[in-house]
Amino acid sequence: MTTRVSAGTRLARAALGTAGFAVVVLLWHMFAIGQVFGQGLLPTPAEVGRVIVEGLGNGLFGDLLISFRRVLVGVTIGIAIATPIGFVLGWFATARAMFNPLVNFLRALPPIALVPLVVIYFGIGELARGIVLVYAAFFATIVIVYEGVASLDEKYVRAAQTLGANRTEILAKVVLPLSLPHVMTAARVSLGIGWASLVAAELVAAQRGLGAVIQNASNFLDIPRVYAGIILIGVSALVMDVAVRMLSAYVVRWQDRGTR
Amino acid sequence: MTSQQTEHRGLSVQSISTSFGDGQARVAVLDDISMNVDEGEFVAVVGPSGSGKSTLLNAIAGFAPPDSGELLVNGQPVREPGPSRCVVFQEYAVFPWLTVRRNIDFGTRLRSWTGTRQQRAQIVDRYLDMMGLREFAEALPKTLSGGMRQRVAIARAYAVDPQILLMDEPFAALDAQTREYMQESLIEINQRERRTVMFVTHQVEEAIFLADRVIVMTARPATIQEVVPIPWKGPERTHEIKTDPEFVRLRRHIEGLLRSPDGHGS
Repeated sequence: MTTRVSAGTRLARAALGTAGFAVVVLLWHMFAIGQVFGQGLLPTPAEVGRVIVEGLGNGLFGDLLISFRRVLVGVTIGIAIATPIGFVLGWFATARAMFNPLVNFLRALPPIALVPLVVIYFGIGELARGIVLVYAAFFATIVIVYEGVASLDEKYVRAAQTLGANRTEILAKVVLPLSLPHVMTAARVSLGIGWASLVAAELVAAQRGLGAVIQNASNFLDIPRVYAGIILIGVSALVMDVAVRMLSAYVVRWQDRGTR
Repeated sequence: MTSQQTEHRGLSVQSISTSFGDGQARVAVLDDISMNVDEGEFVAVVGPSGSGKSTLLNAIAGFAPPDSGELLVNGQPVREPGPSRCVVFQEYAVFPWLTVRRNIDFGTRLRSWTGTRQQRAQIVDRYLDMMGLREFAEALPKTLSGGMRQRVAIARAYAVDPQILLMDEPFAALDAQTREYMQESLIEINQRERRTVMFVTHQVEEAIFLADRVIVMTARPATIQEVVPIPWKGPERTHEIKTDPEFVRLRRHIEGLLRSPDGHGS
């Protein structure tokens, strides 16, 4: 992908992206009409759409906002804690050798597996749900940041040394700006994982939020509402991803993608 | 090699040797290299590819200290990288997140720099003008051509006022036309502000065109095969000398040395 694309190309790309959704919705509609999965088990897109539109005016929008805030706060805290630690691990080979296996062990644990323990230690409040999200974002970020820092182009560090930079200056004036793209990537990945972990987080006795909506609807076998919850999670994740991508394009506008 | 001078001005390389690897796989790269680069002198180092020219430069820069021998700059031993031996690299090592101006004053904003704020501004302005970068002062490197980026790198190196400038094939990645243009710029800037320069290249013509002396290395393990003095001085160095019979003779001679089977010096 290049940064400099013409408006026409961008429009064509957006059209293709929309077409991708259209194909899936069309197939879905056909499966629903044909009752491929048995009677009444697959609602039509139109039915789900109605549930969403009606629901948004009637409490669902509140659930959406609550989930949005949970993901945003949890992931932001996770990134904020993980980024400096990722720096240390990337910069100091000894720290990396010591903690790399540990990080990879913890990263492999699915956040949902933590839910029972989180409930035991932190109860069933907002804190417990937050911790699941922070955990998910933390390990995604730490790995991306430290691998980014560890693989920074040596030539810039050498150039700084030869201009007279000491270790602290190299860290602040070279390593930090060079790893910004990695931090932005980490933010994108973490937000994705955050939304993916949301249902796990809201399994922790949440009354509100999209994960709770799905849980409750599932208990009442309200299948259209389950779909509505799933689709809203997807849409929210998509919106956040676009926002982070735009922010990233601004923050690392100096990056020359044409040469890679 | 004369015995150790107490206070030689410039760079003094005293029988340094370097090797890569350990035990059986150990490969000698530099074998007992000694040479001096006097203050204000422009020395080019040429050698067959893979001969260790860059290893020598990295040793002097302080990136890879030699196994044995001594490196002195103005009598001071070299221990680590520092602004007394600023390097211009072959790959464009201009910081992509900084504008041209901020690249040039990178060194003068560090704690190791001792000048005043006013001096900094003057230095930056001087090298912006000298390298023809004035109108690109606020541009980001990604908008510049390779030649322009190397101009920024050279200006940035001059700005920290190094005791010796180390140039590691700085024009090798440029197209022929830009390279010639850059060579002429370098001659011009070096006439205005005489610096001690060690310029590593694999291009014999470039070496003769730029340098006061050309040091010809052998293949690995590298020793110094011959030191060729270049007769042209200062303003005589123009494009025309490249077709001068003496220039052609020197070029043939050095190219012959590089090709010779006894390039190992034995």
